[in-house]
Amino acid sequence: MSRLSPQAPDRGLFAGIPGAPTPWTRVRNLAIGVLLVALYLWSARATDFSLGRLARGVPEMGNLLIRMLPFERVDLPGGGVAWRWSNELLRQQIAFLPSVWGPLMETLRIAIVSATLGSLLAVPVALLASRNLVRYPWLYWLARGFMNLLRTIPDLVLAAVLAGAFGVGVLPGILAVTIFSFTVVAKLLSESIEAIDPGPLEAMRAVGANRLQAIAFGVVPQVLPQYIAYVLYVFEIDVRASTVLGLVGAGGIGFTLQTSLRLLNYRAAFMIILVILAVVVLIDTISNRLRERLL
Amino acid sequence: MTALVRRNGTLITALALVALYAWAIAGLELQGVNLAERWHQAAAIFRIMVTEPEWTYLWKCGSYGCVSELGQKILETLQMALVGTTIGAVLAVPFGFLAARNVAGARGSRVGKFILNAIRAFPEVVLALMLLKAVGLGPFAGVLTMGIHSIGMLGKLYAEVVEGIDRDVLEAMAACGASRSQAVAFGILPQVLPEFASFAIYRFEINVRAAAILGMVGAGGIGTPLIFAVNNRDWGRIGVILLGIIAVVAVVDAVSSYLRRKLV
Repeated sequence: MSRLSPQAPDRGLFAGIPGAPTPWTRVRNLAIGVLLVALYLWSARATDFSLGRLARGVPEMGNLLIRMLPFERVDLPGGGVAWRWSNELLRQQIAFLPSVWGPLMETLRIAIVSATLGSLLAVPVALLASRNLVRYPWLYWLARGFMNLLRTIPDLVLAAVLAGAFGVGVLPGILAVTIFSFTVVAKLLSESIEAIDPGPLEAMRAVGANRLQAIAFGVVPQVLPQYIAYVLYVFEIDVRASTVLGLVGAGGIGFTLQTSLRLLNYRAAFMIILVILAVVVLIDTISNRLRERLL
Repeated sequence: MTALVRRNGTLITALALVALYAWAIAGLELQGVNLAERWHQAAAIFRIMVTEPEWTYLWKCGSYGCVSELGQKILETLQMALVGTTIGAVLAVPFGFLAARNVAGARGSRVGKFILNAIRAFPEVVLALMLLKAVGLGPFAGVLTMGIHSIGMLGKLYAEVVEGIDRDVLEAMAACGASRSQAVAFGILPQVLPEFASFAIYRFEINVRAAAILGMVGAGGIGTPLIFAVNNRDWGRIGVILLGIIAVVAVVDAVSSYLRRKLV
């Protein structure tokens, strides 16, 4: 009955879209729904998804957390375990902080150098991957294809493979983050270039400017502020990416984190995670401020 | 002073940048590294990856029938991303509404967005390391990681969608006597669901990449055989695995952008 009542017009989620829904689309939607549920159940089974494991994991998580904080383990006479706050452990945790400084600075250095190199390398490729600048379609597609191919490889996968090929250290880290920055900036920049106002470019051509002059005076002034914003943005993501590079042997603070986790030194690991969070938030804030002023 | 700064702004910026780069480059421990030698070594390795890929990892037939180890792992990666994205997309809905200014008020919205930003700032791999300690090795930890981490981004995007809700529709519905639940079902959901779904599909794209990474720390999927192959210096296998990752990410990106174009 409610189907006919005026309060609930049965146009469902597709209100306002012409031609919806007929009995056929209803059957189709039902079929899609059943298929999706089946897909979820199948995937959930394959990924060992279980609420029981989740429920058992929660106390484990609490156990882990308490071992990250300055609590001292006390064995009770009855065989139980209690945790007592310890100022001594807190002092040790704070005393650990200075040793994080070196790896942290290495992380920032990797991010700065890689963001810069990647952004510079992105410029020529972005120019070639802009439909409005390139005369030959094959060149455009080549540049675009190269960009998209590199973009598919996840950053940490790249770092792990490069760490294997170049040997452990900052070098594979810099290379991986440079390539990652290159793909991000090249894509954004080529989109900006394709969206420029063609007027100045045509005017430059009309007065006989060559290609380089046309780009320098017809394109660069239009996209420069956006380009700088992209560089800042990519630096921001590079800082995040660089903090975990060490987990696959590519330098930075991630290596310190992995070492302390391997040694089951959870209180040290906690301090490292705090430092990572603080730096990520700080860099995000600075970069956001600068970008707001730019655009 | 301010006038001085303004007049010499470009110069000061340039000097600051030079100092920053000097600091960054001088501190990198690259002095002892023989770049040419490293490059030769890496080039030889890349050549093996390309010229001698371990095709049996992609497809192998024996007395037991034919198997594709790569295919199984890629499938597991996709399944992890699917379940993780779904958990995140569903859990993000209440977060999205509670972080929206027109639902939670200015102060509530600020608290909500702070929480979502905190989730986003936490590196995904680090979250995975902690969850692995809690629920053990395997894809389940990866699924939980993606589920929790996705809330940060999706909640923020959802909140922006909710903030853009057209109130006229709600007023019109109230005027013709719709109940509160009817207003939500027919006034709010139709406005937000297509965009929610579009963002969730976009996040699926990101999570496929994330799922490939999470395996490297033990959370299931294609990353696990990859990191084993890297440790064993099994370059032929790495070549095939990289090919698989590139192919699956490219296909997922294409399908996802097609679906999103249809949705919004």
